[in-house]
Order: sequence, then C-alpha cells, then structure tokens
Amino acid sequence: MALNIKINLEDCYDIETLANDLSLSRFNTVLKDGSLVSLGIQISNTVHPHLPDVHNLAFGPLVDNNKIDDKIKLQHSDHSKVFSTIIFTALTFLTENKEKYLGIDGSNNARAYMYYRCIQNNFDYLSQFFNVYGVNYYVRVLRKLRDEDGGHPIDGHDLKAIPQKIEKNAVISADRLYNYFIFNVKEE
Amino acid sequence: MKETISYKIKQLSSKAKGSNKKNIKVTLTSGNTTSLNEAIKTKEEADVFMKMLRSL
Repeated sequence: MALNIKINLEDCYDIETLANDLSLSRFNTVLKDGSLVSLGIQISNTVHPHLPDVHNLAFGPLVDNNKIDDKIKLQHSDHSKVFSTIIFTALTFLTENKEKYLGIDGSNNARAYMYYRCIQNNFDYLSQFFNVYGVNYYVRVLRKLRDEDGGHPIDGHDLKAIPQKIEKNAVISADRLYNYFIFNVKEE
Repeated sequence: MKETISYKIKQLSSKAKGSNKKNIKVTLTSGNTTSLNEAIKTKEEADVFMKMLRSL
C-alpha cells in the first residue's frame, strides 16, 4: 500500500481520451516488474439516481474495453505519477463542469486510509485546485424497548450522510475515517 | 492555477471533445455501487445532502 504519494500535476502519464465528455479515458502505467498495464478512468453520473451532480470516479485495468477492474491491487513503479494522472483527469473534468462534484469511495478500510493520507500529505497542493470534503454516515439510535436492555438498538436502515470539509492535519482514527470523499473545483 | 497546468487542462479537454464519442457503457467489477447509495435513498435525502454540501 503506497502511503507516501506526492501529487504533481505536471508529471503525469499520457492520457488517451475515449469519450468526448471525459467520462472514460485511459493511460499506461508501468508496474514494478517493468510490464505495462492500461488503466481506465471512469467518471460516471449514473451511479446514484438522485445525485446527478455527484459523479463517481473509479479506476483500474480496462478489461475488454468495457469493464474496469476496480478491485485489483497493482504494484506500480511510480504510485505518485499514477495518482497524479488520475487527479489531473478529474481536475480537467471538473474545470469543464464547474457545478459538478466528483466522489470516490474508500471501498475498504485500507483504501479509505490511503486516500485520506494522500489528501493530507498533499493538502496544500490539492487545495490550490479543489475543495475536498469527507462524508460520514450516521445511523439512527433507537429507544430501548425495556429498561433492562443493555445498549440502545440501532436502525441500520435509518442512515444520514453528512458532508464536511476536510481540514488540514485533522487526525482521525481508522474506525472513524470518512465513508466517501468528494471534490469540486475551486473557483479562481 | 499554474499556466502549464491550465494549458494542459485545455489540451486534454480539447482532445476529449475531438474524440467524438459519448455514452460509452463501462461497468466496474465491484458491481458499480457506491456506499453513498446505501446512505441516500430518496430524492428528499439527496436534496438535503446537496444543500449541506453546497453550503460548505
């Protein structure tokens, strides 16, 4: 897991655009064994039916030109360049679509932690271009039915998603990491 | 924004527009779901969420 990623938008791989709205693009990354892998970057607005302005950013090896393997773990020779390329694509999309937001899901704890460390380690740099938000999910605590019951029961179906601005150097324990990260472009 | 980055953004945008393709269907092996779908289920919840987000 790469945690010392340094974002530099002037040092990116060559990006091939596959859609005129930047919803799909790809670039070749070099793995530690020297082999090349084509990574697809998908920016999708079809993920959430009620949030048309929040697009989801996903990336991974492009399989058969119509599937992205977003779960695979790859040993990139230059993680910083890979993430810089993905973020540059995101910035280009957001610059063209200033009213939109891009979301990225920390699909597991390790990834969520890596994204958070990447944001914090590059906070000043990223803040030149983006507003960065974290989303926490809160669950409804129900009333106890009987006084002798231990803790309060919770209703796992009654959730609230609360966004907040990510602050520089905020320390968050692993179990309290944001569930979702959102970016939009900073107005100049 | 630095001029070089701004210039590269314009280049990539222009390259994308020139690709003349849209609505390409790409699926994710993870099943194409985000956890946000589980937390925001209705239009009303989505409206409240966006209002909070835009106010930050």
